[in-house]
Amino acid sequence: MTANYNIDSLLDEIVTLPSLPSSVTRITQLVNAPDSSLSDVARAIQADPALAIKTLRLVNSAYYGLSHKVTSVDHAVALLGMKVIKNLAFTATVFDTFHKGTGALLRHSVSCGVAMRILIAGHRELHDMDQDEAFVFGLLHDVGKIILEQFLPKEVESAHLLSRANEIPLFEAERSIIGVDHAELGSRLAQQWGLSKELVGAIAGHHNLAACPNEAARGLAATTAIADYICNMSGIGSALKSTGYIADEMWDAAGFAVSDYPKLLDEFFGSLDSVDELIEMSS
Amino acid sequence: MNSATDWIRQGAGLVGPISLRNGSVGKVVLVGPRDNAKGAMVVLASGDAGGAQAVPLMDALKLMHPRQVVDILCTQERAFGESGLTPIELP
Repeated sequence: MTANYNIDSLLDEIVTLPSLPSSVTRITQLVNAPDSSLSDVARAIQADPALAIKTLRLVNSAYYGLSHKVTSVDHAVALLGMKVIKNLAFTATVFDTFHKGTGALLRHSVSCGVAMRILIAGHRELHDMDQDEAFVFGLLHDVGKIILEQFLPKEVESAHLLSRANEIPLFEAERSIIGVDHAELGSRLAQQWGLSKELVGAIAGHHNLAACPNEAARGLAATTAIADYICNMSGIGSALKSTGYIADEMWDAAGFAVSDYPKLLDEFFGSLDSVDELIEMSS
Repeated sequence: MNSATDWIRQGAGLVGPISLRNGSVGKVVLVGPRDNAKGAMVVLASGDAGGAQAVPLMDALKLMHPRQVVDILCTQERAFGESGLTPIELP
């Protein structure tokens, strides 16, 4: 089987990228608008009951570690602030998208989100980003795989076989079989959803920094790659026999000292309960 | 491509090869959980008489690549940890 598509022909002929629900688009607009208020955001969430329920479940999860139960969206918004709520509503939406993929991919993606949260918290001097935003980077880094699995399942299976047979990274096998890899497709989806250029760049470059559209995205793409690698080495891969590939350039670009890793991994292993809880509430 | 360490089981432990930044080569031996300072040891050849020097992993970190550190600690957690990770499968 040979490469058939470039990204544009794939999107024209085969793949329809899922659109972001209008409620989430509205919330994003409100958060970015300087004159909107907390109650505007709360109202936008309440207008979508399914989203409101998921938002409350997430707010009350161990991941946020609040000491008391939050029962209203107004309270949640007041407590957590608009930016956190935006990421939270977005996460709830992404979970819906992930239910079109495999359970293994969902677990891998949520675990990467948790790993990113820990890595970014340990590296505040490099990245001015809150932890919920970091979680979304990990959660979405492989979103292109869902799209490929949905529209091109036979080709994806062939790519897995090629990756294992030739001991090459899956993204290289995808390019060889399909002509496009999950990172490129995922970044296109993130772009369509109007996500930040840093997130679009990190998804594009998490296997290859040369695919990052700008310098600012390189450090975040490299950190995403390390979160991905940690999950794969922990046996939380998105493929049964993960190749555990990571390009050498990622380690320098992420900027952690070798002595940082034991503590970061301690935190990651100690946070795995929250992965199970987040997966449970995503359904 | 970069691949993870090739581990083999020896008794109750796991053993894998390692090359350090200073050019020395040896083995990593995993025998217990991460909170045991001697749960992961780096064993290097020492002298001409076929002797060996064993140092705890944490004392050898500066001579290691971050990828090796992640590989080793994740494998140690999967083999001996209590966080519920899938146990490592070895041939």
